Amino acid sequence: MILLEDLTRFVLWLLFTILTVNMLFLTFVMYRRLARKRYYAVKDSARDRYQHVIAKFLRGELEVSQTASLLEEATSQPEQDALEEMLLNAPPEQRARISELLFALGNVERWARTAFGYRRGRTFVQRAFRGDAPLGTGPANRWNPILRLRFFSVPRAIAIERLGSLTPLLATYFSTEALADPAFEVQRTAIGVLGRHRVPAAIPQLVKELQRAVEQASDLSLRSVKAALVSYRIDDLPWFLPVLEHPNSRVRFFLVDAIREICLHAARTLPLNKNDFSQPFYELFLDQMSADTSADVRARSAAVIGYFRDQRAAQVLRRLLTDENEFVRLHATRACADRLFATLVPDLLRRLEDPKWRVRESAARALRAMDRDGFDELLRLFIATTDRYTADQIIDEIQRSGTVEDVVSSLVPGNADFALAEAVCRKMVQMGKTSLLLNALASSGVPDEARAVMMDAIALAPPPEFYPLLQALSQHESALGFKAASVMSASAVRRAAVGGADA
Amino acid sequence: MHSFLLQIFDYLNTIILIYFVITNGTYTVLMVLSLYTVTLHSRYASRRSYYAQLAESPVTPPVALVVPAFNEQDAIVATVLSLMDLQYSEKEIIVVDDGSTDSTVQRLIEQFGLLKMDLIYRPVLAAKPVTAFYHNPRYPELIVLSKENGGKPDAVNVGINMARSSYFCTVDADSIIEREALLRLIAPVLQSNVNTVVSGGVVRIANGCTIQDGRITEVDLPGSWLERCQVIEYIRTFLFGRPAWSLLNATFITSGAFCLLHKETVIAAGGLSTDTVTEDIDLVATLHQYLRTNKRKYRMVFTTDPICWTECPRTIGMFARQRRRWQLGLMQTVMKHNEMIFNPRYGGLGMLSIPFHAYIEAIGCLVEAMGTILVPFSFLIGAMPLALFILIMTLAVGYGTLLSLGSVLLEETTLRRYPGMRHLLILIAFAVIENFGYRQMVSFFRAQGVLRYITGLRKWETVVHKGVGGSMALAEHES
Repeated sequence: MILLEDLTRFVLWLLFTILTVNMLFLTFVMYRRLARKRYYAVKDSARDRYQHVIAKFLRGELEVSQTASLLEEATSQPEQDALEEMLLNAPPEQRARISELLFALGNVERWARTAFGYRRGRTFVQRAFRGDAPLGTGPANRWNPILRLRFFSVPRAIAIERLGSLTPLLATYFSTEALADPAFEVQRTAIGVLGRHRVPAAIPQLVKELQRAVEQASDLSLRSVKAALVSYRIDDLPWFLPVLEHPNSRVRFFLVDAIREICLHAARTLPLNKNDFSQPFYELFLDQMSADTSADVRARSAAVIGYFRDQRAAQVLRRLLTDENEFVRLHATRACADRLFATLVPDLLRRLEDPKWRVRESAARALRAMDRDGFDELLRLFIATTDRYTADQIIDEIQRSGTVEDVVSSLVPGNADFALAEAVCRKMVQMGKTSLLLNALASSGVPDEARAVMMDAIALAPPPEFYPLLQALSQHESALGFKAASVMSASAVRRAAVGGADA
Repeated sequence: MHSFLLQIFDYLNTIILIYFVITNGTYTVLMVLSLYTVTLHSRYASRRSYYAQLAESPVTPPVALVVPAFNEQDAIVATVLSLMDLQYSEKEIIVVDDGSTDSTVQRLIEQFGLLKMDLIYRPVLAAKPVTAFYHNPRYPELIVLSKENGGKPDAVNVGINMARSSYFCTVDADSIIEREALLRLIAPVLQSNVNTVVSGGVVRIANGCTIQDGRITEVDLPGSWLERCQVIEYIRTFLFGRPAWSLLNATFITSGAFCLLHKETVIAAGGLSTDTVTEDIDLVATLHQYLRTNKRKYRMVFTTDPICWTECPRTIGMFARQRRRWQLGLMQTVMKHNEMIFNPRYGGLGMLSIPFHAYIEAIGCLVEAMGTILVPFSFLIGAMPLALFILIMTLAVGYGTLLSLGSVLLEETTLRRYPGMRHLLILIAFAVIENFGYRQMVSFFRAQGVLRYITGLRKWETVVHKGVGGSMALAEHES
């Protein structure tokens, strides 16, 4: 039995502790708020004080040593942060001078010490500025499990992030060393910095990290490494050549996928062609990568080959379009979405009958993207096909892309595409895909002639919403109104006849 | 007889005290762990332009935002606008109208010029039939589906069926998502070297805030005491419960209002089930079970910086219904998955997290409610001396304040979503005030939820939102 006096003593003790902690929390909350206010006040004042010095330095009016002596009185954290912000927001072409200045101010050494320890930090700074190769040893005592704790690893990661703002060569040096850090946060930061600077010499190191991630021998995620690899530009692709024949098929797959992303990024600003790639790279993809034993590699290669946009590429894509693996076919169909591959239209039409819906879908998209030729072929296949899945896929694409509007606008008699448009319309009705047609029929923005044609088409298999719409249209004193009335009466006769036959 | 009664009260008070010590001890440990993890995360995240890089990175996977909506005509447009404004490279927005009887769909059609279409729908998860699809090629990322009413989980399942992306994010139709929030939610997925199947984020109360075009333009605290107490409660729940469980890799609860999930895994686990009233908690438990049974490596994370703003109940009636439903759902979920409790096969989840949620969060409210009545009653009948009674009450208030102040401290050191000194002072004041009535009231409502579970009264209570800034109406129907 718990004695009352013990209980009271315990409760009193607990109460005292709780109230003390409450007061501590309260004090800390208020302190934080006021400290932040003070921090920003000091930072703003430092920014005002030093911005002209930094502006002069950036204009080249002050030497590194002069600037360093003017800035060395900025020692408090907010002042340092203000300086750092101003320097790191400067144009990238100033990075070499800024790195020198940060070194002169002692920042580089301070960050390196935080990241790697006192002695090793100094050594690494000396080696980095001498241009030596990284030792790959990471921080001091890296086998110490305590270094993996976030409490200790976060400051190191922040230090690496800061070292990452130096020149590409210096940043790459420190990041490569940091990859040997036991904490994944530091590794992740380091790999991000490597990607940001895109130093070609770092590619083998990134591939090594990729392999470790693939083999699950690393704390880094595959996506983190891939993100670093895709940061490279199309001009850097020749540097990937030596590693593309990596024995591990998963590594090859991620490398080719990264290259695909690099090409995609480049193609957003300027259409690519084979001249944007080196000859060995071009040959490697057409001959080797497209015939790789790994289906994943073949699939991603198809996407890269699509950017070559020539007849050889078309031939290889034609082969890949019939690959046994659905993902290869999928990527190959996507790669064909280019009017320069018009010769592949028949092959793409065949892919619309692919047993896998993703392939059918991308084939429909590719054909739609191929300007008029591809789109007309798509519509013709839609009319002709007896395969429900193929027809469904095509009409889904037509609806989603908004091209039903084009079909409707061609429904005016005399239009060159009238027959095709009318047939598409009738097929849509047959399939019960009438929502957009009904919408167009109700729209006053559509020409009356087109609406009249649609009325006839929809009347072949009218949905329930059709009659109220006809009713409404028949109220208009216009040719369309009369047409609506006549379609209504014809439909009524037909329904009565069907009803009679059924009876 | 009198001495026997005193004896009984003595025992009950001892049980209550032991419960108090265990519960608050656990909360203290959780708070310390959260202080550690949240502070470090915030320190790391604030230093980097990481999210800006993620927004540009082709490695960032596409995400489908699934918005189940039932009679949300006043909130839905703002929600969809906020989703369209999200800083995210590739996203699908799938609004699933769960058979609304108001103008939910009409509002969307008018706002976004949607057209009815006959699109392909490939159901992988069983759900009520879809009756219409709406889309506008000018907004290729947006699709609205109408379906027969089947409840929120059914609507989410339809959204999953329609989604093309490998990840989907559930978003409540009355929620406003901050621009960077989805990037913050996907970040742990990209950083992890194992499959991250769930990534949950912080939800905050939007009552009192100014919203324009689907964005929070001014953060403010609501005016009423009930809403302010809920603000404190949300901060406490999201900043020091969930981060700690995430640190221990034992996440059991994520808010369905804003949660990222791996689509394939959810489909493999059978999707969202309709047999509990809190489908989000049930889904997390189901995923744990499925993945552990199939010996898959996985991770479920909770990140403290994504922010989703949602509406909270404004009246006690609605608040009571919400809390009863949550508690009933929690009870249903822990009982449905009770083989995980103290099951070493589930590691920290089975040995710590689920027992905590079952015995402290789910059933514990009965002890709490009993204590709220018994302690003063013991004092009144003379079973407890005045000094001890005052001490215990002061202790309860003091400890409650400690937990809430700890949360305000976390908020202040990390997110700082409430900018003014006035906000801070109100938060501090309500960290104390909520201990005088609000917490006791919550205990009673939760106890009612547990009793409903025990007595088999599975009443489904829905709160129908009228949009942030509007009023809320309530619909109640038996399930």
